[in-house]
Amino acid sequence: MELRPRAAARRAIAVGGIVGAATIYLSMVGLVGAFARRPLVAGVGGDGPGVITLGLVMLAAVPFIAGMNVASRIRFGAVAGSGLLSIGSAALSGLVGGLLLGAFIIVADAIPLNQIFIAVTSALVGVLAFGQGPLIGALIVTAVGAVAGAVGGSIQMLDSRDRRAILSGIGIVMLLALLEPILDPILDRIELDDVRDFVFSAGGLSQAAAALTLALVIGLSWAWGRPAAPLRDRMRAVPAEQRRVIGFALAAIGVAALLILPQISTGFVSLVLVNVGFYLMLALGLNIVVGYAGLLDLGYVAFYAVGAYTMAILISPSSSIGGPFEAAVGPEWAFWLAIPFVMLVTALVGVLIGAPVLRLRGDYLAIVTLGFGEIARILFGSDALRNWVGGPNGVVGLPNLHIPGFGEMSGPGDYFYPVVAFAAFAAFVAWRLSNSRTGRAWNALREDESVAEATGVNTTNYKLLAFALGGTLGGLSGALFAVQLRTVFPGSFLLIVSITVLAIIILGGMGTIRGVIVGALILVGLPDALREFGQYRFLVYGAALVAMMVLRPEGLFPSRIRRAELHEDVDADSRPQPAASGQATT
Amino acid sequence: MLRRPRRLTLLGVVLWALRVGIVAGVVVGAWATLTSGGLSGGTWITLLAAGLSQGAIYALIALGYTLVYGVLLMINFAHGEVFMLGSFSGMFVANALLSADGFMVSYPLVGLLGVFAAAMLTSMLVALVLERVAYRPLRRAPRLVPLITAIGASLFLQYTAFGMFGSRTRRYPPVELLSGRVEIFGFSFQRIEVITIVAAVVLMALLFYFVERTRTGRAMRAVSEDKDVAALMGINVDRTIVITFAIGGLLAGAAGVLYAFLFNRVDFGMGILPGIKAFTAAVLGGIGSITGAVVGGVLIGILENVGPSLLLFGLGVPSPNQLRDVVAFSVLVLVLIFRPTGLFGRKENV
Amino acid sequence: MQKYMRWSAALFVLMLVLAACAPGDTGASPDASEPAEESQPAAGEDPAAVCEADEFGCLEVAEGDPIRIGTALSITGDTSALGLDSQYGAQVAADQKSEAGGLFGREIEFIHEDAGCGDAATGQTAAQALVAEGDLLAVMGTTCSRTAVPAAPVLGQEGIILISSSNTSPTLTDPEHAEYAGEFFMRTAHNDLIQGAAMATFACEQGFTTAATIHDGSTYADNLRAVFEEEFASQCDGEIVSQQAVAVGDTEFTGVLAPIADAAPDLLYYPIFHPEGTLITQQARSFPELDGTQLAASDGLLGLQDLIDQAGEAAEGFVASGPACAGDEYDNTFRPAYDALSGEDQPLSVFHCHAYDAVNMMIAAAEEVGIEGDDGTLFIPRQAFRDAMFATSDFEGLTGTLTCDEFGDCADPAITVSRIENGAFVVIWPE
Repeated sequence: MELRPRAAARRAIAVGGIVGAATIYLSMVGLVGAFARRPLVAGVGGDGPGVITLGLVMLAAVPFIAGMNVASRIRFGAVAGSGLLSIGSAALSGLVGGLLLGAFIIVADAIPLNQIFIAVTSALVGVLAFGQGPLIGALIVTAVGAVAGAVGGSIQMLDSRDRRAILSGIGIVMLLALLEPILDPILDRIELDDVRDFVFSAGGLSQAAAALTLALVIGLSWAWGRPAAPLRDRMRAVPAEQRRVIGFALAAIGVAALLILPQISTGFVSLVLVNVGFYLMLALGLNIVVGYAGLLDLGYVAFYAVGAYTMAILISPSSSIGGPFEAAVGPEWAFWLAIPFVMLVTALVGVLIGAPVLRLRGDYLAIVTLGFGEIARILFGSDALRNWVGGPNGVVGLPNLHIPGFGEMSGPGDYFYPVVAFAAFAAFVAWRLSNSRTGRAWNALREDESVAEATGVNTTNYKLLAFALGGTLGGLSGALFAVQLRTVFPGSFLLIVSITVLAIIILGGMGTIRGVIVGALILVGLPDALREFGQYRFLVYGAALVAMMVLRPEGLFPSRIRRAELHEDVDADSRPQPAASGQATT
Repeated sequence: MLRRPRRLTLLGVVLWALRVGIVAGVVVGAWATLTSGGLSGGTWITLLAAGLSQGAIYALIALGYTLVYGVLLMINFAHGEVFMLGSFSGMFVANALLSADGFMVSYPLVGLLGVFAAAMLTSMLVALVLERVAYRPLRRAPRLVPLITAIGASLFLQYTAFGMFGSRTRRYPPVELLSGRVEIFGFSFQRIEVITIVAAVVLMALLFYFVERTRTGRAMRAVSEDKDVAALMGINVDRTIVITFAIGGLLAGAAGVLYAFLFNRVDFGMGILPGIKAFTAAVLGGIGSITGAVVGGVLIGILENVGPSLLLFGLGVPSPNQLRDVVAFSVLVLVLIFRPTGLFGRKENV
Repeated sequence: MQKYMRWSAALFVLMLVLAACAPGDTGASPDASEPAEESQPAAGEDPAAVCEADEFGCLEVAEGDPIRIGTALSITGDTSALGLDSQYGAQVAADQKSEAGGLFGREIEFIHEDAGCGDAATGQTAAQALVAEGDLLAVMGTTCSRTAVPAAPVLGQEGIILISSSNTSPTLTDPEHAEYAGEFFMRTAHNDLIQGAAMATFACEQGFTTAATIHDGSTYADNLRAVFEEEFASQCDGEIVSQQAVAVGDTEFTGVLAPIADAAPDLLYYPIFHPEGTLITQQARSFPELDGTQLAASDGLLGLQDLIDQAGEAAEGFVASGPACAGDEYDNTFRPAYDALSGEDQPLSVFHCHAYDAVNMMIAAAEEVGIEGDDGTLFIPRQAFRDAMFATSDFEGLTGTLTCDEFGDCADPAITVSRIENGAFVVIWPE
């Protein structure tokens, strides 16, 4: 929008206020302190000052993004040097933000705030002030804010292709640095020590590697994006059939890399991926209930628990009924024999949960299912039922999973494969369902239940089916979780699991499998891999949920239908309205 | 919507069986407990007193839920965290006052007022920020969107408190005025329980007066009846909504202080369960109805304290009190299944 | 469509095949319950030969590098006091050794991981993260017995010892039990069989005939309660008049205390943690019937300043059982160093001495089996190290005289009972 300088300045200052508030918040809540321990790019001379840490990047990102935002919104029309003015506004916003943070540094240094805010220690102040005293630190911070804002603004001023190139470059460098704990051991394992020493140092990327990656990605991105780029034209010229084959080949390579990963990496990485796998299956199941059928289930962890406990009771020799399956067919087959039972039981539980709540919609359905989930959690750990499910001592001593003919799975490196197999199976089921008649019935049900009912869709049956199928996938995940851990304790089935799974499908995009995979990797894989996250991962979940709903409710990888649904009202507003009464969309 | 003609469905039979089973269970359990003589009359009075005081707190929180639902038709899932943050700020003020030359000891009443003020103001602020940042942009979104946002906000606020204040359980400093016991009608009660009930009643009376007698209160009622018509009548809907959130926040803040004194515990997760139980209370009483929230709150408090012992003790269930939350959640589930409009609610398409 | 199905099926089969053909260097390992082989490292022997002979190889520490010890403790959340308590105790031991010249001239460095408490899966993740760190002498942990169950095998497969300063569940060192933590798990914390029995003995000696118990849904509390009840009955025909349970996070205990008050037992035993235990102590005072009841708990509440501060008057007369950890060395040497680390003037919990002893045991065992090579590299053969640790006997530590049995229980079986008198814990039993 076009603005006079004074109004623009006011707008920039307002944004600066938000920048300041955000950076102060990040400091007070302890994220800066925690992330300052995570080096991203090593400095000159190893790990001396000048290491770029995740904390620093996080702090700098705020004015940077704000700068981009300001520059895109504040334009000065055809005035000469308008680009510079926009950048100036961006810098101004960064400056104001930095000023506020600087003020905070001075205050925090003077007053012992950590009586109340435990994260605001003198150590934190030192980090914020770049190791200098409070006054100098405040000045530095102000300058950094201004510069970051200006840089953000400048990047916004570039044309979109260049901008995308630079942002991708930065993004890929960050990602590479964050994945250091995974990539470094791999390089070690496959004994590419020279490469390893070049790329990684002092816990993060080396400067050389960072610069090289940045240049490479920007170069490639640029080459790809420029008009009349020879490379892209050549690619486009390839006939469709060949392109599909190439696509397949790339996918196959990707899958092969995935499958080799546990062999060349540590048990920890495999465990992280196994964990991602569990949540992925849960998310695929919940996706059926929430994404396809539109039934918001907040008690989904109940299926996880039922699956885990059922498997445990059936195959552990020390369970309340003595693990009859294990006794009957031995440890090699016990798991496989129990799987159909687990699926049956969880499907039944799904129907039992779904039946009484058929008439409920939206909020109420969510709360009731929350209640069910909590009731399940309490009952599983209670004294009242301990003779069946073990109470606080849970069920222990499950035998390992055996793949018949191939032996026993022990350790996450082995479990990785069955988990991937089951997750692929779940994805396949979800995918087939979404494209089937059932899926279309669910679509209709989700969009408008009354209309669906009127057009002959048996909403009762389809709702129950959604609960049953979604629950079955959740139960499968629980069963795998149980054998991998070889114990089942009630403390693993808290409400936060349900919310995490919900966050995954919200972030990834309800209704698409690709989105669910990305969501699981980001929300479960990343915090597991980055130990610095710790409990802050839940803060990120909450923020992600709110941000997604406000900014992009259809998620990162939405299906076309969902995107249309969720922006219905926006589109409606932009179209000329016929003289209709205020009909609210549900 | 046309009502489906009554048919004998499997589902209908199951629901009927469920109804019968629950009633039977309640009756049998209660009978067994009362005839077993395992618990004395004094015990029941103690449990009842505890239930009333907790119920009063639930009622205060439930009012926040019901007011917001009335005007926005959405469940403010993060209301429990509004309560929690108010409790925390009250604690900091109380600790500060305590260390300020024993101010709290010399002027306990003023000190307490200060604590309440701090808590209520903080809660109000948090509620207002929530409304402005998370809910207002989503006014016209499909109904699930604000609910999910609220869940996210709840999580976010919880872990903000975790990050800022730590994970250790804290407490309010002990206040002479609030400790000890009092004698009423020959029964001995904890002083803090009585004070909680009295304080809650006072606040609720103030709320009643506000909603019934003042212009803003009338505006609130109008907006909750029909938002668009109220707007046509010249009522500033946005401002009314803001005021609704503010009042809900004030009440939750007061509840936070009372809860902390009653249970001697403040931690970042303290809002989750009371939040859900207060919401249950609001639903039980009929969401959107102020009387309903109050009655619901008291009922939930009593059911939760008296219920497990009454129903399960006689049946020989081990450690019945472990299941007190199950009672609350069961009430929630049952009310929503069988009578979603609650006791005092309006008939509305759920 | 068909093509997709065929591809997916092929992929599925491929994955299963790969799983089977996995060389298993991240997975299959010798079963942890196989009998251990004794290997004797001789001083001055060729390190290469010794390491070759050792089943798990050697830990190699280059010259000038620190010796790394991992910790898998609960350092966030409600039980963080317990985890940090052990962490600081360990640090005191390491700092002392460093000041005295270091272990083979090297500093001791800790790698900390959060093992959590409620969810057993976090124990597994912490253990795997530590294995991925690599080059650890041993790991100290976990805090809650539940998390040790998956963690111990993960470390044991790599030949890394998991030694706990606070896991007290009897099942971890019981080879008959499904929760047996294996050959590489040991502890300086006492076995709850001892603690529960000690409380029963105390109760019997006081002449109590009836008792009630409360547990909080954790394995720890539940086991303690069970042991106590059994011992109380067998030692002096004590009667359990009421058994109750609460949930962690509960704040209102009237419903639990009321039936107990009605039964008016001589002893109320609630071996749980703060804040539930603290609140029960306070709220019990609201019941006049319980005035004559002895309130008793276990090491989860022993010495806890939070309890004294919060319960105040109500805590007078409260007793708790737990390990003994006192003496001149404790007061004059250990506590100042510990307090400097914790920043408080009271200890966070009661397991810091166990952590201290655990680290000193590690140091002693390392000194016994470590071999310094010609180039200054230190070699510590893992199986030998494990055997040396398990062979510890008559080791003088802050918690008493430690002797490890074959299953990993090393604690000095001295349990004391302390009472709160005038706002402080005083040992009252055994006299």
